[in-house]
Amino acid sequence: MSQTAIAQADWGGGASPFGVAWQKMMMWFFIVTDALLFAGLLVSYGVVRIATGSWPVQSEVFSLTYIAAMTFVLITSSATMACAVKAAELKRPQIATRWLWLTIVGGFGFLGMQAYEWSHFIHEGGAIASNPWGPPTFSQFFFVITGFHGFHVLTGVTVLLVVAIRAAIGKYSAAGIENAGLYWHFVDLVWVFVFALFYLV
Amino acid sequence: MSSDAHPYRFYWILWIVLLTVTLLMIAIESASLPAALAAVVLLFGSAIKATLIIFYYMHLKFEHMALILTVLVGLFLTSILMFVLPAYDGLHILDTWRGLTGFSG
Repeated sequence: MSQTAIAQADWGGGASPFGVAWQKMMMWFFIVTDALLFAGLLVSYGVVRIATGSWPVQSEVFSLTYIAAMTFVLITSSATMACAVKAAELKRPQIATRWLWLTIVGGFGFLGMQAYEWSHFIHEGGAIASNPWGPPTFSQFFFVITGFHGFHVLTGVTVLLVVAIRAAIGKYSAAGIENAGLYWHFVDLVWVFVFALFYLV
Repeated sequence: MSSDAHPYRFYWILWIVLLTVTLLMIAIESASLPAALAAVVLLFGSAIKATLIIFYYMHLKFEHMALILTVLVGLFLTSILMFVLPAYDGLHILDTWRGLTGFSG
């Protein structure tokens, strides 16, 4: 292989080794680093839980039906987001924006459900320093992990709103929808592990 | 991947698969399996969901291999290492705690 061919190949670090626009590449890098943040949180939760030796039975603290409904809302919003990205790829701005607004509705739905879950948890006696079900670390990890995730959902809804409002005032961007979509799916991806590790295991 | 006539169909099939795996995971949680087995099965279910979301909803399958490897190595391998290595520390702390206090919870 000639020097030029190597320089132009993916591994030679040619003009575009990842083959994507820089915005999308940075979104992927951000997602990887942000995922490691959640991995760190979940690992510390796991270590503390193992080291504690006893942990509340989650199904006695939370309504798993309710958590399943939250999961349903988030997965559904991921599906509508995937449709928005597909419509943007097919150069159908109006349809893409419509799917985007549906995704925003799903995002607000999830946030509302989580707000209710938090208020219920607090009302039942769950606090940072103590809780009626087990070691204080149980409620601490509940607030930190679901709080961090909820904050990500709030950020995601904000990003989606910005993209949707920009489309409404004539500044539609297919790349914007794709990058916002990547972030939104990531929020869903994190929930997959929060749901399994914090609520089910 | 999806025909022109039904460009969104694939994503809704995936939606059904993701919901089905979620329901199966809840059923496993309710089935009172041994804790370690349930944890492994539930993590396996999560891995299936995560893979489908990353590869198809996030379109990673259709990106350059350089990007795929960057994401997979960064995301999966590091996360797995982070999970596997400190678990022993947790068990060690628990053993020490039990040795000190006679606690057997």
